[in-house]
Amino acid sequence: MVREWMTAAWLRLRALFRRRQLDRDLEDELAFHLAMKAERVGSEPAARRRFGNVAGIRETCRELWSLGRIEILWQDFRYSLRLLRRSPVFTIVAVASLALGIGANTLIFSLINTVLLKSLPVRDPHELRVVLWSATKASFENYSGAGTRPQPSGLRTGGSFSYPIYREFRDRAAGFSDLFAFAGVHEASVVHRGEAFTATGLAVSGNFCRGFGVRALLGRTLTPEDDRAGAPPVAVVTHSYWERRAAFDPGILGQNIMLNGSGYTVVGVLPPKVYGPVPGAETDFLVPLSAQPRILPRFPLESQKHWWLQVMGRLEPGADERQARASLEVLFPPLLKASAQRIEQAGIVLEDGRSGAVTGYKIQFRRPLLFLLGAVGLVLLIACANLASLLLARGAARRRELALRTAIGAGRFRLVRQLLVESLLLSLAGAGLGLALGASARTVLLSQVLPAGATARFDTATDARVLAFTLALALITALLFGLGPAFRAARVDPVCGLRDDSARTAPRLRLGKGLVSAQVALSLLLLAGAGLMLRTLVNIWSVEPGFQTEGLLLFRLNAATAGYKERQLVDFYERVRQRAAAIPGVTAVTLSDVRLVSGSVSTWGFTVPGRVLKPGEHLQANTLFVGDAFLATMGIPLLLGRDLAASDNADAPQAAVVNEAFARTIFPSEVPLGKTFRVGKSDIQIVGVCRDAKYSQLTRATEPTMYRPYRQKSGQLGAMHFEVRTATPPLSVASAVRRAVTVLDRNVPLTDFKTQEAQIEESIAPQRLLTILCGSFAALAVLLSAVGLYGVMAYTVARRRAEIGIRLALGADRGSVLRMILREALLLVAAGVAVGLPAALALTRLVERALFGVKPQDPATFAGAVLLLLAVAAAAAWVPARRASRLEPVTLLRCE
Amino acid sequence: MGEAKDTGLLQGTLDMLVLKTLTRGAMHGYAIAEHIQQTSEEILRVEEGALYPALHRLELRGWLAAEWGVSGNNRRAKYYRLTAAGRKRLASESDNWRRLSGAVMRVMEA
Repeated sequence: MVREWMTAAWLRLRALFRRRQLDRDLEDELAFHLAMKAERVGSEPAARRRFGNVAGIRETCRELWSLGRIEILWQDFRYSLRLLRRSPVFTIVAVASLALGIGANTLIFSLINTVLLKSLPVRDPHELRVVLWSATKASFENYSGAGTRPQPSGLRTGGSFSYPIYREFRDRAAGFSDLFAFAGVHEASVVHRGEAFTATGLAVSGNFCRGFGVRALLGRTLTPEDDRAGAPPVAVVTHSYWERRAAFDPGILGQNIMLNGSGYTVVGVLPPKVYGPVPGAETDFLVPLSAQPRILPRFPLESQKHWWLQVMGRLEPGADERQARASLEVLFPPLLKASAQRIEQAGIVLEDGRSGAVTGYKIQFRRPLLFLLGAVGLVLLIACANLASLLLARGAARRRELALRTAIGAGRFRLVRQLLVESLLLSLAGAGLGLALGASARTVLLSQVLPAGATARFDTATDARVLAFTLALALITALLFGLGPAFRAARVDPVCGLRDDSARTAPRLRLGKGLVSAQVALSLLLLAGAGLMLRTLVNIWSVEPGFQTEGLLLFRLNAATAGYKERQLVDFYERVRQRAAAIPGVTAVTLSDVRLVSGSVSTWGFTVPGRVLKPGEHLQANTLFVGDAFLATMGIPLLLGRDLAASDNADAPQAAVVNEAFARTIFPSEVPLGKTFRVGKSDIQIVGVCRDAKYSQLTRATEPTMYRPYRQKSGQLGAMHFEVRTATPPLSVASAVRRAVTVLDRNVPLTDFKTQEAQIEESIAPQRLLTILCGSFAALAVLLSAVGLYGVMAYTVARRRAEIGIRLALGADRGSVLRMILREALLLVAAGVAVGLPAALALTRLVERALFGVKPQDPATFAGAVLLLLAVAAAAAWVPARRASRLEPVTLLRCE
Repeated sequence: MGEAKDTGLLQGTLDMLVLKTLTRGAMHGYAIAEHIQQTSEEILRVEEGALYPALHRLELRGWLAAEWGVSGNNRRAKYYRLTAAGRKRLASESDNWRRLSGAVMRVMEA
């Protein structure tokens, strides 16, 4: 049965492409029969009479060979293709505007797909869950890893836990086949195959590989046995590490690799594209958590106070997710008692983990990407409106053809279907082109916003989801712009349509004009958005950072990972400082534990002796541990007292310089100099007051900040950022600085080499990109609207040629004709503005959080957007208006 | 099917007769009609209006294969021949027919 059906389908399909041959064969076959019969009967007319209805037989046979409806559609398709080929300008304009509209959507969606949606290349990713805590209020002493973020419900959630809590979860939770944990190991200093360099890795629980669902490409993965205390230290490396550092040498198995000064045996290599549970994050190696004391000394495993581990789980097949969550939530609050963290109404949230842990790029790009998706959606709507008005005009021009087709018996449905097929062809061509455009722009765009090398760690290939999105978009678009005009055009009266062909009887374009106004309204939305973004960027650029950013070179050194401790560490950093300061062209060098305007901030709580606080209130200030003459070197003006100096060492009394904001909020009515406050158990005396300067980012208001000598930092000193003040362009001394460090110790990794200005530019990269994209989309929207307005006005002028001719003949001057047409165009624009303005005022509120220094209803921005739109519209209407005013009344009236 | 009534032949029966006729070798449509008419001693008259749709239907089902050749009087003609599938089909249809006509006969002669 199936085979019969297949044979028939195949024969029919073949026949489809040989339609003419088939008809000829049928003709011949019947003619032959007729001839044979004529021979026998004696005369042809007699034979024909006996034969019956030849045409009927032919029709019956032909129908047998046809594919039914599909064939009619095929006819429509070929007919549409022919028609589109006949009007190439229309086709090119239509396909190009659709390609831009659909391409922009494909681009943004594929970015969303790449960064937010794509499943990780692991076994059954849909079973993965990210474990988060939730609370109404939370504050921590020592929290790192997955930052906290507010949820729509008003709760805060966070993704880091302490090891003791994780261990309880792992051992006692129900419904998970594995609960596994991991923490990033940043800038480990590595010695491997005789080379020293830095690498980034993960410290993972023993069940990580099993739970996460990765196999080894070579050797084996890590197992719970590797995570036992006293187990031989082992590591697994990623495919990209294997490629870069070992050139795919299979002999890497069994090799020794030194990580932060202690040795590990490489037991396995992970498959390509597997980096870890944080999409796009760099990963070179995995080591078991039992390696913590050596590799992550800042995060003691058994500490209840340190929350640094991210936890994910794999649900058991068939397990109830709600029960799994509940089992964790029951365990959680009792564990908090020991941890001394302030968390109110603690709960547990499980998030879908198929696309990885919700950190880093996913948080950073979520909002901007969704915002952009809205923007490109508007662009596509404008392109649709544009195309719809083009099709309306085209339908009006094709009235004669459509009337003729109706007259010879084409049903209305058939006409609509053919017109829709035409729209579909246009939108599919646009989608194809848009897909190509989007795919090539995607990688470029990603490499613009991500740090170098990160793009390669994302799977940017176009997948089925992007294809389906584009195809669906094409179909919806075709219906959106095609349906109205198709019904309108098919409603043609054959008698009226055929009677005459002059433009005078062409229908008015009321719908078309409405569409132009809609385009103007939508463009206004985009223009207002782009304007606000631009103002934001300009505002950020003009922010006074409070210190001198020019002529400043930054780099980061981490001597702690190379084995330096306490005094040694301070001595080493001091030697580097002196060496760097001796380089010609360098005027001063200082250092700090956090670099300025890098997005990072470190905040410490403190108390003021003798001050009583309200319940729940506590004092805290941004804190920066700095080297000698930090303020002088950075160019932060000192207002009172003195700068920090070499004499503020570990043996001297604890000192701090505070900024004005600190002085104002903590000691509002007193002279702050000489006052003391208390951090932990030590008293700190204020020795100076300085001007406010930006700390973590330019867009944040200056908060109370204290600068403290790094020699007096309690606990383990880690990496330090050096600030080199130069008299020459900063990068000119870069190689000399690098040499100075390597001479001292070539095992200390030197990273993040850049000028302070580049650092600031980098910190506003997302805003810059958002502005550029939003601006481009707005420009595209305005351009499309201008084309739409031009088309409608040109059509109107053509339709009213006779009327204009009469006006001119009756003595109207050309200026008044020009004004008449322009007035009509501007009326359409005004209608669009009247609708668009309130909509834009309402909608820009949604992007308020992305703005800086400008209100979402900024009048100047809106006025600018409206003026720009009016100017472009006037220019677009000018051409047809001028043409109308140049008409020669004599020739015109003679023609008509 | 209007035509089937006119010829006095059930549609399935015509199909079977065509298939049976073609066991003698490749033939064009006219020859098939002639053969059926002559063999049935002019009792069964095959109308063209039924024959050609039947031939094309059988071809589409893959029971017949067709090719163009030259007829005895030097004209271009379409020759049909039985395929393996057609032979199988014929066997099952003639079985059916035999059972059916036997049954009818038994009833009529009882």
